Amino acid sequence: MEALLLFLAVLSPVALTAGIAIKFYKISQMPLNIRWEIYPLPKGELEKIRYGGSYMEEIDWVKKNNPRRSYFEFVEPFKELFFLHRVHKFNKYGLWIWSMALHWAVGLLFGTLIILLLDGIFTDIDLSGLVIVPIFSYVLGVFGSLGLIAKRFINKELKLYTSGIEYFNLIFLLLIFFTGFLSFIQDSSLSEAFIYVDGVLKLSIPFDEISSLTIIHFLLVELFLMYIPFSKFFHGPVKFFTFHKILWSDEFQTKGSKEEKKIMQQLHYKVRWSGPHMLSDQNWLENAKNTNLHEKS
Amino acid sequence: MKSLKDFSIETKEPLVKIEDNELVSLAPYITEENHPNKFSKEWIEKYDFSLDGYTVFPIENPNEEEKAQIVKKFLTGIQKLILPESNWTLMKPLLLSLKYCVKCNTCADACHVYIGSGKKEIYRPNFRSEILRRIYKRHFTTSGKLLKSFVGADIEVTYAAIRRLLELAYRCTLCRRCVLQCPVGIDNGLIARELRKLFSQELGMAPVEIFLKGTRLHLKAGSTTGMRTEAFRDIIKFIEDDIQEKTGRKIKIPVDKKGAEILLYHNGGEYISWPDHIAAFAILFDAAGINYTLSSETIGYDGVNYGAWYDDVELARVGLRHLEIAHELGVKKVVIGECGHSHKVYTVIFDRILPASSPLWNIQRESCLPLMWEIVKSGRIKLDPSRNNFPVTMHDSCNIVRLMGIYKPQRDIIKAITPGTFREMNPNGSMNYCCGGGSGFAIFRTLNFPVWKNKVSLRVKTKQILDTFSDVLDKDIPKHVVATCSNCKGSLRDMIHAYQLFDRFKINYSGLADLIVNAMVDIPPFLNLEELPE
Ligand code: SF4
Ligand code: SF4
Repeated sequence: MEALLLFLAVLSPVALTAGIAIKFYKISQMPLNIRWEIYPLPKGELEKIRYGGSYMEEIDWVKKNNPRRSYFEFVEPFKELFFLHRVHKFNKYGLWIWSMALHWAVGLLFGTLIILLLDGIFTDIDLSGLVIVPIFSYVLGVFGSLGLIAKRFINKELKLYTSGIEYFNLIFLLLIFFTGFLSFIQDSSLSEAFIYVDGVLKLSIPFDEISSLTIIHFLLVELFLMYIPFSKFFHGPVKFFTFHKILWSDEFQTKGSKEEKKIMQQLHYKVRWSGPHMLSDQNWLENAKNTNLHEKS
Repeated sequence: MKSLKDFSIETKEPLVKIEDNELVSLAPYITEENHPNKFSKEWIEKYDFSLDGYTVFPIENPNEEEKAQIVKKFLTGIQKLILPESNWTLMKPLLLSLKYCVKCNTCADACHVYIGSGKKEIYRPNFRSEILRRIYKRHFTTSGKLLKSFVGADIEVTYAAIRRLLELAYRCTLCRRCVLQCPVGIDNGLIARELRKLFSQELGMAPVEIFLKGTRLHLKAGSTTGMRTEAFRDIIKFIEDDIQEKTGRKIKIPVDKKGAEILLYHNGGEYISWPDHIAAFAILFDAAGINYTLSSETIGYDGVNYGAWYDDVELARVGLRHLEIAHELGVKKVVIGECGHSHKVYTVIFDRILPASSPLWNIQRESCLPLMWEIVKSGRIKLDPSRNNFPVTMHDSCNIVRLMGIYKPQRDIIKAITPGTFREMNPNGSMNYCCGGGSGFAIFRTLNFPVWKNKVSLRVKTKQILDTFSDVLDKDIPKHVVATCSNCKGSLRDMIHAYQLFDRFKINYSGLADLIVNAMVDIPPFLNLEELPE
C-alpha cells in the first residue's frame, strides 16, 4: 500500500505533464481549420485592438507590413485567468464570486505544490512561512466549490445543463480542499505536508510521521493531477487553442509556408459526405471544381 | 423544460410556445396587442411544427422506415463532422467546442434571439450545442457509452429530436456574438453552422432559399435571384438610363472590362431590390475615376455565397468560380460591395481554402469600405455634409465588424459626410446585435418562418433602433439607418414593414454608398427620405 502511494505521488506529475503534452499534440495534429477569428483581437496595432479593428481596414493590406503580434495576446488571457473577466462581466447567474474563489484555489494549490517541492529540493531555505498560500487555497476552495454546487443545484436553468459528472468534479474539488483544510486545523504549520513532499523527493515517505488525513489529501491531489488532462478541467489549457489558434488567429497564408502545405494536402482529402450534391469519392478540389451537379439535386 | 431529454419526445405539440406577451417589449415606442397567429390547418396537418410552432421546412412526415434511415444518416453525419478528411475546414473548433464547454451559461444573454423571445430556453446559445453534445457523447465517446446519463450522454436520437434539431439550426443567425462572452472560447454559432452542414452535406436538407434556390440556382442560372446574363445586362442598361434621368450624367457602367484593376462583386439581390444602390456605386466610382468592372459571366454578377451559411462544399464551388472569373478578367483585385457574408467569405475564409501559390489566391480580395473612405478622404469628389442633415445611425454587419474587424472606415465616412448628425447604436462595433436576418433569415420566405423572424429575431434590433432615435422619434423628422450589408438591409426593410417604423416614426434606410452620393454637390440629392426604397 505504501509503495502504491509513493508510486502515485511520483506518477501524478508525470501523468499530468505527459497527459497535457499528448492532448496538445493531438489537438495540434488536427487539420488546419479555415480562418474563424473574431474581433476584437488582442494583437496588431494598439488603436485597432482598442476598437476591434483589423488590418483588413486598409487598402492593399496584403502588401503592407501589418504588425501581427503584440504582448496583449499574452496579457489578455491573464485577465481571464486571474479575474475571470468575462464571467464577471457577462454571467447573469452570480457564478463569478464562487468561480473566482475556486479558480484561485486551484491556482494556489499548484502554488502550494511548488512551494513544497522547492522546500524539499533546497534544504537550506525555509519556506514554511509561505504556509499562508495553502491556507488561502483550502479556504477559497471549500467556499468556491460549495457555492458552485449549491448554485448548480438550486438554479433551475443551471441545473438543466448540469449532469452527474459536473457534480462529481465539484465534489472532488471540495474533498481536496476540505481535507486540506482539516489537515491545517490539525496541524497549523502544515509540517506533515512538508514531510510528505520531502519524502516523495527522497522516494521514501515516512508514513508513520504523517496522519491519514494528510495522506488522503495528497492522494486526492495526485488523482486530481492525473485527471486534469482527461477531464473538463482541461478547459483551462485548451484555451491556448480556442483563443490563440482559432479565435485570435488572423494570420493570412504565405507562399511556401507550412500552412500552405497543409492546405494543399487537405484539399486532396476525400469529401466522403453523401448528400445529393456531393461527390463522395472525389476530393475537395474535385468537388469544388464540379459546379455542374444540378441533375443530382 | 424539466429535462433536456424532453427534446426527443415524439409529439406534434411544440416544445415551447411563443406568446406575444412574453417577447421583449417594444414599449414605450410601440404598444402591441396579443395576436395569436393562426396558421393554415393544412400546414399544421402536413408539416412539423414540433419545435416552437414555426418551420422553414416543408418536409412531410416520413414513414417509420424513412425515419430510421434519417436517424442512421444523422449519426453518420456526426461521425463525418469529427473526421479530419470530411471536415478539415472546421473539425478542430467544433470538437473543442463540443468537449470543453463548462456550462456556465455566461453566453446566454449575448443572443438577440434568446433575449428577443423573452428568454425561451430552446433559443439559449448553449441549448442546441448541448443537445448535439449529448448525442455526440452518447454515440462517439467511451465515457458516454459506459456512463451514459452520468456524463450527460442522455439524449435519445429519435426522428423527433433530429427534426427539432434541424429546425433549431435555423433559429441562430450565426452572428457569433455569444462567442465574445464565453470565457473558454466555445463557439455556439459554429455549432449551429456545423449542424446545418451535417443536414445539408449528409441528408440534403437545407432551406430551399439557400439550397435549391440558393447555391444550386446560383451555380446553374448565374444568380440566386434567378437572373441570367441577358437580364443582368438589361438591368445595367436600365440603371444607366436611370442615373442619366436623375443626375444628368451619362455613365457607362463597365462590364467585362479586361484588365480593369478591380472586379466589383455586388450582392445579386441589389440589382432586383435596390438598383439605386448599384447606381450609387456607379456614380461614386465613376466620379472618383476608379478603374473597375462588373462581370456578366454566369455567377459573376452575383457576389453572394450562400454556402457560408450551411455547406462547405457549396461554399467552395461558388467561391472558386468567383475567383476564376476574376482571374479570367485579369483584374488585380476583387472588391466586395456592401454584402456582409461575402466580405467574410472572400477575405477571411478563402484565405485558407486555396494554397497561397495558386494564382486565384493571389488576386487581392478586399472590402469596398476602405476604398470608399479613400475616395471620400481624397477630396476627389465634392461632398456637402449638410445634404445629410438628418439623424443617421449605422447598423454594424456582424460579418464585417465582429468577424473581420472592419469598424473604422465606415464610421470615418459617415462622420465626414454628415453635419454631426451621426449617432451610434448601443452596443455597436463587435458587440453589436445582429439585425436578426443573418445567415439567410432575411431571405427565408417558406411557410410561417417569416412570422417567427419578424416577431422574435428582428425584435432586439428594432428596439435598438428605436432606442437610438428615442429623442427624435417625431414623425416630422426623417431618420436614417445605414447598413453596409444587403442582408441587413433586407432585415431593415422587413422590420420597417412589420413594425411600421416608417409610417410611425419616418425611419428609412439605405446602404452607405447611397448616403455618400446623396452628399455629392454636383448632382441632385440622391436619397428620397419621404419614401421607402422599393
Ligand atoms: S459556451 Fe462558454 S459561456 Fe456558454 S456555457 Fe459553455 S463555457 Fe459557458
Ligand atoms: S451565434 Fe448569435 S444567434 Fe446564434 S446563438 Fe450565438 S448569439 Fe445567438
